[in-house]
Amino acid sequence: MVGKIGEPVRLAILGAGTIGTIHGLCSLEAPEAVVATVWSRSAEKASQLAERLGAMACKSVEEAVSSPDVDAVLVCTPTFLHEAHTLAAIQAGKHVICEKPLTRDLDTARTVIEGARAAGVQLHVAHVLRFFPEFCRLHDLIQQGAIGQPALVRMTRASSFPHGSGDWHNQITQSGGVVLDMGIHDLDWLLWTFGPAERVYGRGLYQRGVPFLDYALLTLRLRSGVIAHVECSWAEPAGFRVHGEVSGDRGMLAYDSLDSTALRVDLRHPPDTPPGVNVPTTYTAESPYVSQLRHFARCIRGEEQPAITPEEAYESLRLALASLDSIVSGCPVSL
Amino acid sequence: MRVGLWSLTHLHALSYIPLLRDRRDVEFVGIADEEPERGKRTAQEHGVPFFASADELVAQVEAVVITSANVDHSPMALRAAEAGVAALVEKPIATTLSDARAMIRAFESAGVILATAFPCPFSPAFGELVRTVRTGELGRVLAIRATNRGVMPGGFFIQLERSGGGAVMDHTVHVADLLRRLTGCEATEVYAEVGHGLYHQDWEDSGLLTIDLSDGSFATLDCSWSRPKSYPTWGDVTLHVVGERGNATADLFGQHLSLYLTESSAPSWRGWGSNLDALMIGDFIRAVRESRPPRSGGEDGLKALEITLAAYRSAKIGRAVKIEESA
Repeated sequence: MVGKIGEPVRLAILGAGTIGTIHGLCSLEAPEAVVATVWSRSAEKASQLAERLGAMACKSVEEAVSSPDVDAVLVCTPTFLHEAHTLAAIQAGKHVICEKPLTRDLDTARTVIEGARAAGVQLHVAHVLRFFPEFCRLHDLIQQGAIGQPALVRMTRASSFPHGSGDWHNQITQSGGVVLDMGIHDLDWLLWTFGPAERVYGRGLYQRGVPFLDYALLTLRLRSGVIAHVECSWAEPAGFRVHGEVSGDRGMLAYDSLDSTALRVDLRHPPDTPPGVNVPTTYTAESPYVSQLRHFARCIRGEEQPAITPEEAYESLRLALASLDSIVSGCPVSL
Repeated sequence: MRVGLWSLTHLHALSYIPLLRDRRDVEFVGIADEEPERGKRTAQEHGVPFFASADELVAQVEAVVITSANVDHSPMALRAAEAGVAALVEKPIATTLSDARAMIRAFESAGVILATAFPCPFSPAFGELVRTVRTGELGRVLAIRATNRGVMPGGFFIQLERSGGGAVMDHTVHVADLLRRLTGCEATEVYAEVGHGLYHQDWEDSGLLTIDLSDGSFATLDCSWSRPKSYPTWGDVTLHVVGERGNATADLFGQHLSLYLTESSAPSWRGWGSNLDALMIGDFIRAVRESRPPRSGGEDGLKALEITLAAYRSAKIGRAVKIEESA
């Protein structure tokens, strides 16, 4: 069960939807990882993905995680199942790589973190933005003082409404909506880059009963004095757009996926798009998802220190939940 | 119609002077300025008369454009009203609600027009956005993300005793006014985080406002002076509208060419969109001639100022402020 130096970490994938498939396919490009078992609520999806990966499709979570061929478990199920599936992995004594957000609320997040600690297994949360080259470069340039002392930040993450399995994203209490599912990327990046938050104020469609649409505008004050605006949108008609802008006392860094891409393919007669979840792509030598998987696998093998700790993932979740609290109460929420 | 311009303190004066001078339907009588040297020089450069006495200028015109420092709008406008002269007052209409209300009352009792200098409603793109929203093409409007960012303007803008405030005072009113026009709703509550981190001065250089509207929709406005000196243009006015059936994005000054010079490292943008100042001046002149309300009257200026002052109060007390609380 402990990953061995030089040998690939053997993974169980729980959930064979959009993100489970991405991680699975990334494992084919990651020398440090190999998928051994796959489980999904849909047996058909599980066997399809298992077949592509040369892995074994399992009929139960138990079977997938307890296999002696498995060192670590990749939890790629919908958010509301993260707690149960992460705990199942921990109970089987396996390391865990969990998709973001860690869980749906803070109590369960704490249970999972404590559970992993008590069992002596590693817990990694896939805040993949930390592996996206544009956001790494933005982070690094700011740390290097390229714009002086940062003061004002604007971030946008916008996509069409995701259509995951059983449209679970539309069950806002299950998914936490766009803030918890997608905005948390930007909130995590803000905390990583500028330090802890002082308070957040938000407006959004959360709990307003608009089906298949979610949108939020958040304003944050960080303890460093930085103020930030975060737009979280599942209201785009199509596609995925990311924008970031950081102003400091010596200049400004700006990024927009619309005018900073190396390749765009526009089909005149696009085939009918199957339902799924939009995921941004980066045309770099190694996909951010591959970099992330390789990093977690190397951590499990004891070769690297984690780029993101469970406590950091907990803080990102806390900030996202505080944003939802502000949207619901209408008042600023202190962290 | 005889028209004058009073004060060169606000840089928009330099845009309005040639527009007034070159109109065939008005006689541009001249300019008055608190700084005689600057006034004479500018008058000469534009080939228009200079008046050492503002009272003398006001006495000779039917309408005056007031482009002074923010805190001087009110006393100057009141003098115009006393003389029975219509006024187009640079935004913000004033720096306090009591000043703005006194101005509205004075022009009402004088029976002449008071207009607020809001050029953005004349943007054809904004006009089309309003049409798109009002015909229901976008469905119910749920949220609006807006910006009115700019280069830090310097001058009187950063002298608090003359400007009444920094970026929030300078850049809230345009979008505040556009939100009212677009939705047909009034603002009910305002929250603001302001910052001083770009220039580290006593005036705020950045502001992030959240504005609730009476129909339950919400908006944010970034009013910061966050464009660096090397930015290719002065700033922007943008509105991203999220509706139940679709989104619309307006970039009111987005029509531009990019100019790259062999000898300069920074490119610049040259706008080719409609001249909104010219359209606004034209509306003001016709309003005075026809004795009809201008596109933006004193009330519009007052409503936009209410939102601005609520933002300052919110930033001070750290919670959202209802518009009636600040009034």
